[in-house]
Amino acid sequence: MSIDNKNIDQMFSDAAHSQKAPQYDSAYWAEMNAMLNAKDAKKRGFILWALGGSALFAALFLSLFILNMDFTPTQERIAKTSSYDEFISDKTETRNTTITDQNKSVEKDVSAATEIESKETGKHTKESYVETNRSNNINEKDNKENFTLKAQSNVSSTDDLDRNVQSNNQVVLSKTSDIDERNANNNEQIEHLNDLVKDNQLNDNTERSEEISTLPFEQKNMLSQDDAGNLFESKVKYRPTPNFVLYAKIGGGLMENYKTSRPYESGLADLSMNIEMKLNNILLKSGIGVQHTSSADLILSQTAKVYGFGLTRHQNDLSYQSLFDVYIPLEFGYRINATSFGIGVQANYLLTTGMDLNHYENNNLVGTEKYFGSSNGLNKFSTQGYLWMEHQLTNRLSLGVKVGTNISGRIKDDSYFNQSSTTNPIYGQFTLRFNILQ
Amino acid sequence: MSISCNKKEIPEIPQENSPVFNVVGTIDGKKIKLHAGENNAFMLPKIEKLNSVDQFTGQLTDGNSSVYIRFFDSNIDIPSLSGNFIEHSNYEIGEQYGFGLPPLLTITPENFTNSELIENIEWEVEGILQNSSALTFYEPGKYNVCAKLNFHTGESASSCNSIIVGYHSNGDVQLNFDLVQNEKIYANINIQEDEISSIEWFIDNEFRSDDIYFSTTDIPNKFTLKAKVQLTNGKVDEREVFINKQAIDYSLEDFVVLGEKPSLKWDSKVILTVELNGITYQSINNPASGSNFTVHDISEYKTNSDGSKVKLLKGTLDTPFLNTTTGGIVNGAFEIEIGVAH
Repeated sequence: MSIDNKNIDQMFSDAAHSQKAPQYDSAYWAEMNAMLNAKDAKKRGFILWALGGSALFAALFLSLFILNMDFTPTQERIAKTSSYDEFISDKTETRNTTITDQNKSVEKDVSAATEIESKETGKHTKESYVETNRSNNINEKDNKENFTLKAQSNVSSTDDLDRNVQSNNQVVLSKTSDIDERNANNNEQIEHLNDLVKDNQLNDNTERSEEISTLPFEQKNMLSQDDAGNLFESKVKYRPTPNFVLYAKIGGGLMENYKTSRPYESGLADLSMNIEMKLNNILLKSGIGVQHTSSADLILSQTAKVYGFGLTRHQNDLSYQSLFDVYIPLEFGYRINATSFGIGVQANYLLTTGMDLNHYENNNLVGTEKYFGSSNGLNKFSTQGYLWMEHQLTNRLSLGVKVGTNISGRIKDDSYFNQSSTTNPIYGQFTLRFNILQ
Repeated sequence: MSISCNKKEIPEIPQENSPVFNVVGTIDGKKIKLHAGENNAFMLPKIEKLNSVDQFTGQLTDGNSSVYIRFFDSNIDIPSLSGNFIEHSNYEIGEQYGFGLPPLLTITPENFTNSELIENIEWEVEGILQNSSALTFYEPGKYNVCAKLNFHTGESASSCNSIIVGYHSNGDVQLNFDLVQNEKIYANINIQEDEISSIEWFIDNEFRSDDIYFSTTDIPNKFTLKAKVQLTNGKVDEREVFINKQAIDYSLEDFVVLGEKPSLKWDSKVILTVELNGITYQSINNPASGSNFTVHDISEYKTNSDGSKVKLLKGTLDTPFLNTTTGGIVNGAFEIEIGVAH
């Protein structure tokens, strides 16, 4: 029979009525809803972790800068600096004027003495005196040039002046010994001048010390500075010596749950003893510790299809609840003032576990039993990586945070398969460090 | 002193395997393939009762097609042997039985020695009153039967006995009695003395004697006499008669031995029923071709969900089948690995 001979409409009609229309079953929708919910839960978990992690990181970096900021207002700092500069400038000018006046007075007195001397000793003595006077002028110039806030330098220039005056006087007196009596008055005048100079010098020093002691200043910039002429290049190379610190650290925090990926259902606590080596601002740390993971819900499963009277699907779920590791951390970091930060890795060795064994037959739970010390399906060795930050609170105490995840998984790739939502859960911890020896 | 840590080992998950119960073959030229655990097929071994006698059965089905095998019990009159699955290398295919086929036992009023006095007989089988004076059985089994003879005079006599149909008897027990001068009763079991292990006599369910031969004058006018007999081969039997001391002809004799019965027996025989594409096929005995289920291996498997032990039988079957729809005979040949509860 050819198809052309059939009534096409009748064929379609028959075909349509020969089968029952698919019936709506609420179970299908419930199943689909459960699948959608499971996917949404994973997405929500990821978004939550991403937002939380970003916020924490931002907070850590902000805190790094905030902790190291000088909170003195800028205007105040500028005002202090400018008033200080003005004060220095005024004092320098005043000092120069005073010294010039004194020198003029001395010059006047000396010229009077020279006038007397020239009358008695002639031209040679006059030249000597002029030479001496020139020397005084040179000292005066030096005094002006070298005058700074440094009291020592000022004292030195004044002493020189004093000594020069005394020297001049001695020369004059030696060459006019024969006219001592006549010049007695002159000598008294010179001594009087010397006293005046000394008094001025003494008053000057006292007054200046008082002013300096009340000045606003940044001690580190000025007091350690040597004169340029005294600096020399050392032939011994500078080698910084590393600084070692022995410290204990305790940490506690939350971890993503293996089964659900929810961040607040599992806990992570550790206790460690460490050594920190500080070279300049570079930190290198290592040590040994123990780590306990609680409420992990790390589920490994083993299934078997067993034929018998029918098919029985056996499933053993090894639900690891607690994991107890010993670990060796290795951390690199950088320290800025009281804050340090860096990265770290740790190698874990699984010591013991707490586990619930659930046995299912055809998806029906038929038995549950607790086991301790089992490590079926788990790697004995695993590694974690993390970012860390610490802030030193006191000489011995530091508070820190740590965020990390597993690098090489705990799950052994053999007869068990992973039933968990996540293989490498993310965790976050607060840490408290106590420096034992430093 | 040594200190050790007793770490509890995790139990191993069961070993994966291939299907245990399988039937592969052809019937009426059509292929049949059943593997328990695949395509929703499952094995359902079960001990069933057919007329109070055990049948060791197993059904492998996927909902659309099925193979149902039944092994009949044997030695059902010996309590220590009945209910045991007897292992053989060959099981004969059992004959067809049922309504429409020749009956396995028929007892009519004419079978009684005082039949001319009987107006009718009321039969009760397993407490169910039958609507005929003729008692007919079409299936093998063990039946509790009560008979009430209604005589023309208005007198009646009744007694109850157990009748075995379609199974081998391990001793033909018959209770005989005689009444002398309407005063003294004599009774015995018509079997060799040395075959009797024990016997107990009861009048109206009151124990009277354990002698092989029973006689007494202490009898009411009408009573039931019952003998509980155990033979040396383990057979246990009970027989009950009704005696009218005043008119012995209105008594009721041991009716167990009465009636017409063919020689067919189903002890340890097997019947296969196959359903395929909505058609039911049943194995039939063909003595000419020696229809047998040939067993290669029998092993103990596991217990099923109701606690019965299950044997795994592996063998072949090549026998004619009856198409119950058309009545035609077709050939069926199977490789069978099937479970049977016992």
